Amino acid sequence: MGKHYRIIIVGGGSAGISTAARLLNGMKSLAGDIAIIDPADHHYYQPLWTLVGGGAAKKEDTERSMKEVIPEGAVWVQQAVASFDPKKNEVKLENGETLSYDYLVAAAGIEIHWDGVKGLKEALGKGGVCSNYSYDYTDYTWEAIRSFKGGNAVFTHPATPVKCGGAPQKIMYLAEDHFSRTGIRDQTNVIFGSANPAIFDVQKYRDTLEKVVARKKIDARFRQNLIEIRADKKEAVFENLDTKEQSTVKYDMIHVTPPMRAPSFIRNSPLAGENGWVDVHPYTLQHQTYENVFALGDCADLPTSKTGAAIRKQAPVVAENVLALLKEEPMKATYDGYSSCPLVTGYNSLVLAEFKYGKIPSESFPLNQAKERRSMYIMKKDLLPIMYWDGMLKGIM
Amino acid sequence: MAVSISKQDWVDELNKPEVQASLQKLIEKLPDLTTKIEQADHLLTFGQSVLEDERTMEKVKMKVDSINIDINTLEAALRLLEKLPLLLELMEKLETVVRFAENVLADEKSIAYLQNSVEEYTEPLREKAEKGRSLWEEVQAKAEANSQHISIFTVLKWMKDPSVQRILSYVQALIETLPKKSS
Ligand SMILES: Cc1cc2nc3c(=O)[nH]c(=O)nc-3n(C[C@H](O)[C@H](O)[C@H](O)COP(=O)(O)OP(=O)(O)OC[C@H]3O[C@@H](n4cnc5c(N)ncnc54)[C@H](O)[C@@H]3O)c2cc1C
Repeated sequence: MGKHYRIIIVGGGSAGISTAARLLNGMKSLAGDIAIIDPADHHYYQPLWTLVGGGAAKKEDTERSMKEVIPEGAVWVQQAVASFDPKKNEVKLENGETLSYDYLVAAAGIEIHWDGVKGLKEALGKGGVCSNYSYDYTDYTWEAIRSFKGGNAVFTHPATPVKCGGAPQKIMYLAEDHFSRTGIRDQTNVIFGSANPAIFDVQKYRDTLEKVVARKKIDARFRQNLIEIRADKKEAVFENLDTKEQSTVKYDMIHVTPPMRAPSFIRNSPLAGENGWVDVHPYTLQHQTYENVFALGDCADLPTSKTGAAIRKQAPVVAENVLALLKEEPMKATYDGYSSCPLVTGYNSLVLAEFKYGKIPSESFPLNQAKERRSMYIMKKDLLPIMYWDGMLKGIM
Repeated sequence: MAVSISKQDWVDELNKPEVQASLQKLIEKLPDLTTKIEQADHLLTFGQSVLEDERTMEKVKMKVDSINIDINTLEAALRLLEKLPLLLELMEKLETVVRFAENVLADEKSIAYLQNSVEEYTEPLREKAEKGRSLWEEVQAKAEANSQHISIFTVLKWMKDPSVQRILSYVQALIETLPKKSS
């Protein structure tokens, strides 16, 4: 029998680290009794990857060693979880070891399904095929944009849930802005092939973004799902989700947002609901079947957009509710579905979309955030990273 | 709300190993304490006889009179007590800000990142400044040449400037969006 911890957190990403920090802030005696299981050497501030791809931020600024971000008092188990046995309160690690817990927090993020598009994995990182959805290739996106000489610049959005629903189009707006600045916009077709039925889910921001798309003369094609990259011919194959008809688009550069899904070790576990995500209550974030299990972040089954901003509101709820159960008090904290998407529309402008369950806008600033603003761009680029490393990951913001 | 917070604090307190250790010590000392309490009992009886002794009581009264606790002090204390939940909330916000600032200051990478951003923004300004003379030199020269007395009213006048107002409302918005304890 392996070691026992009062709390085990699976995943040391945005969700896992901020929850651990909050638990330790709230109850100092948990020191040494919280384990964070994560095989990764590094932790990433992924929201900045859009700006790295747009050449406006440095890739290295988005990476810190896992050791640096694990809060004092938490034990880092550098292993991958292979399976869960929630009836026995146990997790099995890839190295065969078993750990047991009183409370479990699942925060393992989302799995990028590179194989979901035929030919993508082989094509990525060369010949104008790029993606901001991998740390390794974010700088290649900038390379592809910078060296683009005109022709078809294609951007895609898949037919699955994705982390940060706005990111597939943000990089397109930056690229378009760059093409205009460097004088090649006239020789360029900017094409957005999206599996979604419209540019954005929330009506208020959709109105603004439709105007942005029109102003920038972007050829937006909806219900179009990328299914194949033919790198040798520089062709992208799309399938119309309604008619199943296939069409081929020539590209000179293509930014692909790959399909995504729940991590397989979660999808195939008793913790998963029907669609593979961890089956938690949308307000308390407690598992629907196992009372001592909670989940948050990209791996949780919540009817809202999967973002780091959402986690900023989820982590306090999970931490407070777990602490309440530890103290044998009733759980009081609830999550309202808040999520946010800073929609970069150019190198100096941003629409800060904030909304909650039901796609209702829920804005933080006393100004109309549906307007494109420079102040919001500065906030995203310069303030949010600092708030992330020194506030959110420390469990205070 | 104040009640539940203090209850939580107590539970946290009881979870600390050092508190648990002291509790154990306390229990070990109980027999000893019993004798002490008996002694205290004697003392109380003694106290009672003092109270009955008028001359000593006069002296005590004088002492109390010389301490300025009057009805006003008591009222103030009560009002303060009433305000404690609000003060607590403010303190918590302040604590967040202070802890955040401490974290940032201790984080070399964040400081470098901020410095870099500031340089990026001031770069175009600096270019605009007169050739051969940096913006900073110019500002410095201006400041040194300025003999005008800067009073709180001067500062207030600056605050009315629309560009300053914009920055201030931005700062205010940030402060207002800091997480509330209850959210
Ligand atoms: C290009 C891009 C742009 C984005 N833009 C924004 C934005 O502007 N605003 C915003 O709010 N959000 C944005 N996001 C989304 C945001 O980054 C994610 O929603 C957030 O990081 C999710 O946090 P998480 O903790 O759920 O997952 P992650 O931070 O991805 O962490 C998951 C962790 O789980 C670990 N793990 C995986 N498998 C196992 C296993 N078997 N056992 C143990 N551990 C495991 C991983 O190693 C990883 O450390 C963006 C993301 C991308 C990629």
